[in-house]
Order: sequence, then structure tokens, then C-alpha cells
Amino acid sequence: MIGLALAYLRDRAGQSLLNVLLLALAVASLVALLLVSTRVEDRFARDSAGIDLVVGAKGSPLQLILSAIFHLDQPTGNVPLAALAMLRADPGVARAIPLALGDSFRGFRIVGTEPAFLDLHGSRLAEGRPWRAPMEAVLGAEVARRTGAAPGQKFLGSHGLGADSGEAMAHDHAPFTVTGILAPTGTVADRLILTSVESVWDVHGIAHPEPSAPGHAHGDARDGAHDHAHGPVAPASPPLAARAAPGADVTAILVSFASPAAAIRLPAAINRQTALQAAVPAQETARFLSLFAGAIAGARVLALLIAAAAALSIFTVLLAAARTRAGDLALLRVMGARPSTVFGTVLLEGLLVAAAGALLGLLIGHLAVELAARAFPALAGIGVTGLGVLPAELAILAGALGLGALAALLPAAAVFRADLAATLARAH
Amino acid sequence: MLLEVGNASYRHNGGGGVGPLSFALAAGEACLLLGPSGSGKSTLIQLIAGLLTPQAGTILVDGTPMHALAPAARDDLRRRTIAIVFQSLRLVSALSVHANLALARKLAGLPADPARIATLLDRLAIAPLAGRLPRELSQGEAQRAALARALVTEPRLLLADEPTSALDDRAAAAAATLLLDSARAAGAALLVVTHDSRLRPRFPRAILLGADGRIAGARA
Repeated sequence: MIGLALAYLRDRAGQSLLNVLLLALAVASLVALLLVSTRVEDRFARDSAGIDLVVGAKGSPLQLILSAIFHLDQPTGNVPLAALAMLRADPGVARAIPLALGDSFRGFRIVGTEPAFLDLHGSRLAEGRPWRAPMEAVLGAEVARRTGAAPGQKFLGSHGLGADSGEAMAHDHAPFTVTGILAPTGTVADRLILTSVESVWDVHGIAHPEPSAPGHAHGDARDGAHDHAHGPVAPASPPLAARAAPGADVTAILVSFASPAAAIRLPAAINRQTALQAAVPAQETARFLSLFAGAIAGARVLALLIAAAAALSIFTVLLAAARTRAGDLALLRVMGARPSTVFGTVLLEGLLVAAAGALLGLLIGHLAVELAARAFPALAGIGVTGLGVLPAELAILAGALGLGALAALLPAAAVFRADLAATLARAH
Repeated sequence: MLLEVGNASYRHNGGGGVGPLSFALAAGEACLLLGPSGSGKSTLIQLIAGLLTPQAGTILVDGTPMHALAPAARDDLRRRTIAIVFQSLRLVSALSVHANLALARKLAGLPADPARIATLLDRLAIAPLAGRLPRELSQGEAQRAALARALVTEPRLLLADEPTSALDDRAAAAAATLLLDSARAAGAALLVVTHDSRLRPRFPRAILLGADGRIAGARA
């Protein structure tokens, strides 16, 4: 009966196409919203995994979280290096990782940190070796892909963290050498350029003693020579505080607690200090996402209304078709079609429209999100991508098919109520 | 007897109807049932096809009383035995002529047989129209296509309801010849109900219905 259902759809191609497009619009909207909200939530969860607290300068706690974990906003300021020592001395702290921000390269942030940052994001080297000395850097997978940089090459950082930090603000006196490329992790590490904190100090003229760095070489990297010591990054230096000049500072500190008790004690203790603030990622991320939640819910309601309009349109078209086609349906019955067969044909028409609309909607939704992510790097930056199918999309697909079946049910059921003899008599 | 109508009658609520009337039709026999408008000819077709149940009397198709069967069994007997050609309800509107014939065979529970369809279309001189939709056919073409649709199911009883009323003399004569020849070639019994008296000389047997739906006369 699928041939007959397709023939009827073809016979009123304009209306069929309109219904398919209407449903596709609804499905595309729902899929796009699902993709954006899920990808952003996933990305935020992945990026903040293992980070219980962020310590930075006083200011907006949300800004601190956005800048230090997700690298989306400007930092709130700097904190004295002594704060790092204080945190590491606290028995409630299992891990404290410093971050020194301020520069970028072609829109990608240069982050001065320690090798533990890589462990935090489960990063491993895909190529080259880790940074061991100041002005050596490891590139995140996306940075390497987008810039085409490879181990051994040099680049100049620009002052500022935005994509508009141009060549005019380049730190000509302090070129970085790429020593390694990280494998993709699907986290913020993919979009960062990682180096030592000393590199950031060097670039900005903050004095510090030269650390001992086995294997450290400042040779001309343009010859492309590099070793291929893939694997975990090995710590190479004495404690940062021992290497720092008096008055040196960092931008923020990522803290992991050693015990649940620290979650209660530490944030309050830190916030009591005049120069520091402690922000809890889970709280701030939830607050940030709640800002979007209202807009996403509103858009979702709109998409559901479009879906309802599509269902209503399918219903109306099929009902009208069932009436104008009463003679056809009677003829089919006289030709030997059982009522269930004719019912199935009308139901199938609704399902075919719904299936076509749902599949087209899935395609449009993914395409729209992917194009938006490519057109607006800020979206890609928060994990938005149209690639990959989410399990929840199957629910949208099933919902669309259910809607098509529901819309076709009443017109199809009219077959059972049809008075065959009266229809045939009217046809004369 | 392939068809036995025994004192069968049916009266509509709003008046009109057919019977009581009796007649029989053997396999391979052709009969014209001639009556004025409103004499219940179409009602008789529906009674024979099992779409209506007689209020009195019996109608046996191939020895089986249609009205005594359960709906599904009635559908099955109709599917296996009867094909109907209507005056205006000829083909499924969304399907081409060829697709209509293929569907008819499928619904009749017969295997697909493109060669048989091609031969039939050729015999009825509509082979070039096989790909056309019903709305793209002329009256005469559509009528021949409807006849092909009925014959392709290899029926043992072919019923035709007012097959020539919209046709001119020449076309009506051609349609009658076509029906008679086709039924004969297929070995099917043929019952044509009509008010078109032009057909009377063409049929070897005719039954005349009065305006009250009762038999007014017969000619063997």
C-alpha cells in the first residue's frame, strides 16, 4: 500500500511538500535547541570536571569562572603568587594549578600553567614533546588544526585575549617555540596554547631565575627538527614560588579539594581575604546556564507550536483528502481492499509526510547549527557543533512520527464509518 | 448457475428500491437489465456485489448467499468472483492506468502479471495511455480503462452499471460490443444494468424493469 500512499502524496504534491516543510521547520528548531543546549552543558561539565574551586581577584564570580575554566571572558585581575603557596599548604587542597593569562595567538589564548593542567583535562601529546623551558609551548588540537602550526615552528603572542588582538600588539621580543601538539580531548584544552607561567612573566618583563630544564634548547625551530617524545608531560622545575620574583602574580588558581569538608571551609575562608575571591564552578555554571534556560524554553515552546501547526495541517489535508477521495476509497473497497488496508493507506500518508519532515528537519537542524558554529567562533568555543547525533534526537524523530500518525488517525478511521453503498450511489 | 436472484427486494428509507425480482445467469451468459432512472438498477448491482443486504429473498453468487456471509468472507467472495464497471467511478484517481490494473490484480489476490496487463491494454486499444492518470483520459478512454481494470482480475461475473449513458451512439455501440466481446473472451457472465435502450438489440437476453423496480418483461 506504500505505492498507493506515495501516489496520493504525489497527486497533491504542493500540499504534501508544504506539510513536510512545516514539520521539518519544527523538528529543525527542536534539534537545533537540543544540540546547542546539550553541547554547551556537556562542554561545561567536561571543562569543569575535577575543578572544585577557582580562586582569583575580587570581582564577578561568574566572570572568574568563565575566564579561568572556559576561557570565554576577561579575567577579574591577578592574585599574588603567595595565594598559590597558601592553598598548596592547606590540607584540604589536593591540587592547585596556577593560570597566567594575558596574551593570545590568532584568537587562541596563551595560558601559562603547570603540567598538572594537562592531567586535569586528560590531555596527552599527539606529537612532539612537552614544554620544558620558558618560551616553549604546546598547542591544543584545534589550535594546531586552525593555525597549521607544527612542532619546531615559532610564533609571536599578541597582547590581549580576544580574537581582535592583532599583529600591532605582538610581543616581537619574545617568540614562542612550538614543542608539541595535544591530541583532541573535546575540552577547552583543544583551544588553548599552553606554556609555563615563567613564559608569561618573560613576555611581560617580569624577572625570574632561569629554571633548570633538561633537553631545553632554543635552536632555530624553522628547520622543523623536533623530538617525538609522545606521552605524559613530566614535571621539570622546582616549585613556582621558588622561581618567582618578589611581587609576581598569577591570574587564577584552579583548586581540587582533598576532602568534602574543604568545600565548606575553604570558599568562606578565601572570600574573607580582601584580595581574593573563591568561586564554585558548579554554582556559577548552573547560574550561567539558567540565563540561557529561559530563552531555550521559549524557543522550544515556539518549535512545539510549529509542530502542532504542522500536525493540524496534516490532519486538515488528510481529512479533506479523505472526503474528496470518498469515491476512490469506495472503489478500492469494491476492488477487494479490506477496510484495514484502506485505513493503513491513509495512515501511511500521514506517516510518510511525518517521516520526510522529521528527516529533513534533522538534516536542517544539524546543518544550521554547524554553519552557525563555523560562522561564529564564540559558539564553537562553547562546544556548539552540528556534527554527531544525540540519542535524544531519536525521541524527536519518534515524536514527529507519532504526531503524523495522530493527525492521520481520524481521517483514516473515517474509512470504517464510510457508507459504501451511499458513496457508490452518490458517484452516479 | 453463477448468479441466482430469488425474489430479492430492497427498499430505501426515502422511497425507491428494487424487487421483488427473480432471474438467473449462467457462466458465460450475457444479460441486459433495462429500466428507467430510479427503478433500482444500481441498488440491484450493490445487492449482487454484497454491498447491500436484501430485505427479502435471496441472492446466490456461485451458489453462496452473499448476505449470509460475514463481512470479511463477503469481501473475499466478491474479490474472487465479481468485478464491477461503474458509470463514473472508474479508476483510482492518483494512479496511472497501468498502476490501476496492477493494483486491481493485487487486491484480487492474483499474482503480478505485466504481460497480461499489456495484452489487455493492447486489446482495448489503450496501450499508449498506460502511463496516464485518469484525469488525463477522455470519456471513452476512461471507460475502456475501467473495463480493463475489471477484466484484469479475471472475474467470473462482470457487472456493469450504466456503462454507456454518457456516450454518443457510436461510442455506446462500441462500448457494448467491447463489454460483450471481453466477457465472452474471458468466459465471464455479464450483467449490464442501464436505462439506455440503445443497447437492447445488442444483447441476446434482456430483462425490463418497471419504474417500481419490479420486472416488467423479459426477452430471451
